[in-house]
Amino acid sequence: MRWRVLLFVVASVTGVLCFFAVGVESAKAVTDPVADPAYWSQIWDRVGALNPSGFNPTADWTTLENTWAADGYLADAASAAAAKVAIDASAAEVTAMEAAGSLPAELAIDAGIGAAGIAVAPLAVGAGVTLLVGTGTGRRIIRSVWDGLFSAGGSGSDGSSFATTGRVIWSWQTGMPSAFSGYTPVPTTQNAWLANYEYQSLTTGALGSSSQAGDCDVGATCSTAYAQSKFHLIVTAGTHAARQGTGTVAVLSTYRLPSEINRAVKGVEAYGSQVPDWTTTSGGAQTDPGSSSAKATNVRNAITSNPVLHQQYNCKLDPTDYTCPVVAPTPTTTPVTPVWIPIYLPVPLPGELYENYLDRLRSRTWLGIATAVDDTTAYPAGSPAALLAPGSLTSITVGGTTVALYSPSTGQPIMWPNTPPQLATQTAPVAVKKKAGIENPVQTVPDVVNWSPLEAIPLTASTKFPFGLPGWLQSNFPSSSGTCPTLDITDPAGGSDHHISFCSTAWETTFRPWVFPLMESLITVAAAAFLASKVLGSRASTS
Amino acid sequence: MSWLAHNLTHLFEVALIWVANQLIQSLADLANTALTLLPSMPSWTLSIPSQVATWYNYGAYWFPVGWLITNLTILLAVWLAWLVAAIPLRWAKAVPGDD
Repeated sequence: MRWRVLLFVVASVTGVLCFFAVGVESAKAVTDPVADPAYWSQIWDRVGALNPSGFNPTADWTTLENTWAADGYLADAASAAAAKVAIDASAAEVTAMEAAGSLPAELAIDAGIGAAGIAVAPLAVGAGVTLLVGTGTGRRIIRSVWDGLFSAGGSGSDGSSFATTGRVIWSWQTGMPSAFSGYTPVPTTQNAWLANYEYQSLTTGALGSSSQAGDCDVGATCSTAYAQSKFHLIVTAGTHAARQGTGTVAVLSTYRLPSEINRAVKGVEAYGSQVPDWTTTSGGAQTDPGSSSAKATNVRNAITSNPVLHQQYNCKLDPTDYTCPVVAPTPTTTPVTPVWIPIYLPVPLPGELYENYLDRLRSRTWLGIATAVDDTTAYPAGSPAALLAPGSLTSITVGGTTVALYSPSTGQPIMWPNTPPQLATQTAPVAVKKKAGIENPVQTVPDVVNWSPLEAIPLTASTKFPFGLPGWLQSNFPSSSGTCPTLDITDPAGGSDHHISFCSTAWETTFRPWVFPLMESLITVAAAAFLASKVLGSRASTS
Repeated sequence: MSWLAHNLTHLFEVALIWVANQLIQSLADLANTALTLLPSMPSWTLSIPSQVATWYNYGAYWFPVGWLITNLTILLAVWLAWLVAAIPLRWAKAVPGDD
């Protein structure tokens, strides 16, 4: 008895201590439930990229929040999916969409538009850009923008753009297309994504060789730091919103690195909701602003309290290594009308009752009407047919073909035909003959032990106290799969936080797989022993 | 004759099964009647703070907390049920009383 009590006491005390520790520790503030320091390091890197000369937790967080809020990334999931379709569209499909008016107003089209429109190949670092614009009627270049990634050192219009929108986008006009005519540079104020100039009214000519050596000012020496900048060319056949022309607008994005083509497909945005591309960084890893920054706390809370938002930000930070939100595909399947496949009549079992035989037909989705009549044939006395139980099947008629199961003259079984009649339709009528007489009533009585009333008791009991207590308590607690503990310690002096991880790969892979079952067994044995001592102990004490 | 013998045997078998089913149904009805007298579990759930949940999962990383909770509650439920069931059983002298 003592060892059982001891086991239970040990298990209980351990559990109570564990809960006590959980309760005490839970009272402490936990500001970062995301137990992945690398994740936050990336956040700080991106924030630091906004202002490499001096990271300001408050101001730069505001910038970051504004940027992320304004880039429309979350709302662009559907449009990005549509644009991706458009990217894959052929020139003919684009033309058809234009004619049907179904081409999105802002559409990213890759070089696949071909000779009818634009042809651009991915460019190597430092290579020039050559654009070939078709001479189709009304096609005009209304804007061309160099969209860099980071231009803290920019000046002039770049600086004003940055100040206006808070976006870190290098915006600069490309080299002038020498072969164009009829364009007029117009400073734009609707620079949601920082188009400084629009070229409109390009009605004649073709874009000739336009060279831009890098993501920097024209004529300057470019560095590989800007290797992933983008060139956007908007070609329109008419008006786009308040802009010039009428009809559709195509956005062409070219990237100097082939890998960026993939990024374009993933991250294509509608005009006016350009997503900053954080592929360039500056200044190295940034310091976690910690919980002392209200802005940082707000961002932390916003991200960590919303799993979907968290995932989307992950995708934004690194669409390659993190899982991006999945856009549910539109079902393209069409309902299929069931087709009845004619079936041959199955062979009746020896002495099978006609009802059972018809049930077998219905189990194969046959829905026809069955007619059953008594077989009045005078089979010879003592023959198998004469000894059949009432209700036994003796013949079947389908589609005008009758298959007799017994010989009328001898009463012996007749071999089932090699090619029996078919149920040509799902509702083909079936006529059967059965042995006359009163059928055995015991056939309608269940001939198996029915345990279902007892099996249903646990379900009922689970809704009643005290039997429902375990399930109710479990429903109140989250999954008990366990999470690797991380202790966050905030520097009271305002320094960086410390993240102490108590993860152990050896524990997870080597020890826990057998220690946990052992603990669970001990707990179970202790509980059973305790219960047995209470139930049987009372008898022992009085006997 | 063989048909008759077969059916008589079948009748006897079905009769036994019928009796067994009636017995099972009676036991189930008795249990369900007793269950209807018990209070229902609450429909509301506890609002576990996220920090508690976090530390709960931390604890579950090193100790089978979920298993412990389940066993303790099952033990408590069965024990309470036994205390109630023991009352009529003592009256029926099926189990010894305290006196």
